[in-house]
Amino acid sequence: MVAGLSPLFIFWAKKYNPLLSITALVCMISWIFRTKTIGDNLPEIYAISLIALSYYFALKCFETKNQNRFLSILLGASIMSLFLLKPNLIVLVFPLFLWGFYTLWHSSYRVSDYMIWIKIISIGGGLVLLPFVMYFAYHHALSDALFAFWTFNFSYISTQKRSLIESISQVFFNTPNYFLWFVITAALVKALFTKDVRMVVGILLLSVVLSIVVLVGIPGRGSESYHYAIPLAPLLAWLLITIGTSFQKWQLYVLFAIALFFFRPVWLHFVSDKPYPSLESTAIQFINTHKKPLETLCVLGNRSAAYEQTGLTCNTSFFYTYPILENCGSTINETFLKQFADQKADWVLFEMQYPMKNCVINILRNYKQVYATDKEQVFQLQ
Amino acid sequence: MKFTIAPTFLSVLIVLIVGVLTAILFSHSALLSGDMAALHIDSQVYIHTAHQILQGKILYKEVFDHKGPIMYVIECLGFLFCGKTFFGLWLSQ
Repeated sequence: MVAGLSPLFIFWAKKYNPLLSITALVCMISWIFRTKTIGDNLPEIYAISLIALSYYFALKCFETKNQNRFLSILLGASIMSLFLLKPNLIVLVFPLFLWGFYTLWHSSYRVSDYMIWIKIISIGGGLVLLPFVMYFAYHHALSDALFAFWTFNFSYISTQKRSLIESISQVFFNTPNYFLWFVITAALVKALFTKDVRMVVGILLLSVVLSIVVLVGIPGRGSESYHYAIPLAPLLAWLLITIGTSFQKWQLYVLFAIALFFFRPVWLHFVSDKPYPSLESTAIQFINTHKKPLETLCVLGNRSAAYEQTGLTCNTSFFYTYPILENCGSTINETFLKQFADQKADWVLFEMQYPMKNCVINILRNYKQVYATDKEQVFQLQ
Repeated sequence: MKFTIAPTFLSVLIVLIVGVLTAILFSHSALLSGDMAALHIDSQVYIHTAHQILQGKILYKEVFDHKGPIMYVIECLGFLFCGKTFFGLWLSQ
């Protein structure tokens, strides 16, 4: 994150004001803290750096009126990296293209210049995509990659139960997000009174709404998807920078004080004592006591640590089954059952908190239950 | 408000502030516990997948997950730093 965020905030500090840039940074960290609800949210956290880099390269190209080819290639590379991290995150670079058209409209650039710039960006994207295509093609895994990254992701979204409105409402209205409302209100007030930034604020607000719809609404996971809003952080920081542009000294201090107010929970969390939960499993201990070298394990549930803790390898390519195997009859389910039938696991660890459908449970026919707790069962191949 | 700080000093200052703030943000990350079982199930998936890739398995074909390949490039790089303690993964954040 340091490498990804620093160029953008240095750019803003030099172009506008150091205090404004730091204020936006503090607010951004507060936003990440507020939306970081489960685990480490690694894809969303990694995305922040790529989004910030995309904004930096684009702003350098546009605002300095310098369509530097190297920067444009880097812009394309960062956008493609974002896409290859999680496809729907691409919505966050949407303002760049709107901003590009707006800049084109107000400059001496011709449409042909803009098209050349788009082509250079595409080259940058291609340079990132190509090694992956070659890697998967070389290993005859191109169709597997396409299925996992594209087909499965879209089919996974379609199985979510909550509607778009319901999902957004659970994330942003059930627990009021005062920081978001503050930024949106301040942006609207700024746009109302300052004509110069009206278009930029409009583009950024539109992008915020669109991103909320795509990232939180469409996946339809409701309150489970607070963390999907994490990547909005750089966009909100950009909005805050736009709000603070041409502020008086005292106004910047007020804005910074507000940022510190929003940062307070992050600091309280930092100074708090939060021990890591102990998750010792007697089932793992049982397997470790009775396992033989080169045996295999299948976890019916979602606990990848079991493989590391037992030192056993997974008998299929599906080392976790929940929630990817929820739909009986799906392509992925049939592939799993076929792989399992071809090479049965010596051990099956069934996590009872994840109810398995009969199509998956049926694989336990040739197994004997050898250990059980109220949370998990261990089966051994007979 | 007039900008009066030397550009190089300003750049270093911003990098330092970004570093400190992100360190504060991730100060309680379970990755620092070094215990994989203490991690959230999603984090376990990412770490196990990266581990399998580094052991020669082919992503999506021999080890299935539906996250994009860039995710695992970053994870593998983090793993290469200090895989056993997960400090490299924490650092890669």
